[in-house]
Amino acid sequence: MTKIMEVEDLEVVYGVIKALQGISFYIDEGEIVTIIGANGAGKSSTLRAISGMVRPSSGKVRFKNKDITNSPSHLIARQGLSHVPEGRGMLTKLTVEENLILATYNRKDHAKVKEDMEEVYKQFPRLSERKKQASGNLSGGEQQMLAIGRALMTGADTLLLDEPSMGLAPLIVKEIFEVIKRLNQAGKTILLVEQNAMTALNTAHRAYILENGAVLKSGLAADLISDPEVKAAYLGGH
Amino acid sequence: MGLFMQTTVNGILIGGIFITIAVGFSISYGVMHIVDFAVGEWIMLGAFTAFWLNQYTKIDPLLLIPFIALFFALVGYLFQPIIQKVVNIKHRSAAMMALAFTFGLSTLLRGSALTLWGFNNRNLVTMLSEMNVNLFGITVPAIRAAATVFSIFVTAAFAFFLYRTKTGITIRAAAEDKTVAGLMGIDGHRISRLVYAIYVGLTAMSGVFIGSIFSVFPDMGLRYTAFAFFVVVAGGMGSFSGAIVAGLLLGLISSFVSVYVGGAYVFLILFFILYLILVFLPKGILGKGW
Ligand SMILES: Nc1ncnc2c1ncn2[C@@H]1O[C@H](COP(=O)(O)OP(=O)(O)OP(=O)(O)O)[C@@H](O)[C@H]1O
Ligand SMILES: [Mg+2]
Repeated sequence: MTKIMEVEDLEVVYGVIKALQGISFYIDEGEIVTIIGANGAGKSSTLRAISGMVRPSSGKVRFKNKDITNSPSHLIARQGLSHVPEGRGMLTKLTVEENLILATYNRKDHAKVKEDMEEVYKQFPRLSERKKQASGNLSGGEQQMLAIGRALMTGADTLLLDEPSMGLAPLIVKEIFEVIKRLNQAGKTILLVEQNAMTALNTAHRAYILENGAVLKSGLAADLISDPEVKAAYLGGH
Repeated sequence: MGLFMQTTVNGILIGGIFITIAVGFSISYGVMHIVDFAVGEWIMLGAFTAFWLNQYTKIDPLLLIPFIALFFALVGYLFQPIIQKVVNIKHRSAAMMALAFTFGLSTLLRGSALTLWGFNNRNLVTMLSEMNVNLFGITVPAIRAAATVFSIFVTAAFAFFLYRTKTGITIRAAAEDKTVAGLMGIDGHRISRLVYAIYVGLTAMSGVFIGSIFSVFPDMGLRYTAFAFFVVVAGGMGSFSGAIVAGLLLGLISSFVSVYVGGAYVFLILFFILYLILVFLPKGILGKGW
């Protein structure tokens, strides 16, 4: 396996709040890795620091053997790393189609863009029915699908997904996680951040448990599901 | 009735020119979140550039318009990073600093123009200056009609660009959320620069029309700065359609007040109406601003 991403002693500070205390982890190409943790554990801060939304105060992020720490987010996005932010980051005034076109702005492989567009509409038929609708008028589930579809349209091979299940009905959550598995089978590397620990551990290959900005535990997802400590703290004792 | 029609037609004609300025100002505000106090000075500089170029080359000011629009777009393109620097300074009230900066720029440009060219009013003479056309049975100066038609055409082209091209999508995306646009690989600074360039180019171009309809003098921009604020606030911050409606409304209000009340009251009544809009329609006339 080749490591596609390596994060080393990543630290994020907001004013006086230290959100990340220096965390390290890696992702192999083709893996689904999940980071789980309670509110305020530092999950979103991790993703934001990787994608350039916030500047880490120290530490390193390597992606495809390149140091991307401190690169601006638009340049990181062009390396094939796409961040679907918490809350979906909708551009509400743009239509569904415009959101997808926007994501392709820097791509030169026009034939592949067309193919990807068809693939996204095939994966998410509801988006294809709502092409001309402002994305602000979509339901939460549809918006999450658009957010993922848009990330795919950037041509990314690696996706950072921040709580894709947030605020969605159980049935839709199931659908979204099916999609995540399918994308992974199709070759996408995925870093999945979740509060919904059970579903995340069932989906991922490996997991990191984050507490107060530090990695508490890590290992194979299957092992962590049966870990008594994890069970008690994150899986509601089941 | 004749006077009423005359006033209406004049109002619409002038409003047509305001539309171009309004739309540029509004989109530039929408993307950069910086109020450019120097909007009137771009008008003044556009008019003066046409005047001096015409003096030296004898080329008709109307034919100079493409050159002036491009030249000022370049000026805006080169100048925007300086404004951006002011905003990027880690300061609690960066927006306030930017406001102070463009206000200073406006004062500097006006002061320089006064020093260089004095208080004199100059006339920008074009091939249409002596002509009249008949519109709906009303005689209007040909330059006014031509300026309006041209402005509407340019505004339509700008709308097409914003709503029907890929780059237009990136501009609207950056206007709504630069962070998310960044995640899509869009360079927000590049977009701000592009938009500011378009806005300065369009505004200077309108300056040539305004200069040839009225006259050219260093203070000529002042009232348009006030007008631009009216349009952006009344139309809703950053709203394209709102800017169009507000631009036309502005033309009609100033035309009617000038004829029926008196030119001195234009600003008083305009800003009273703005006050009412802010109280009753805080998101602008069409409710589309933010
Ligand atoms: N923009 C910010 N300014 C100040 N503090 C912040 C900011 N964003 C996050 N924090 C703080 O940093 C810490 C980590 O936040 P973060 O958003 O990374 O947590 P999270 O694990 O994603 O939580 P959640 O599950 O609620 O989304 C929290 O204490 C939070 O209050
Ligand atoms: Mg979060």
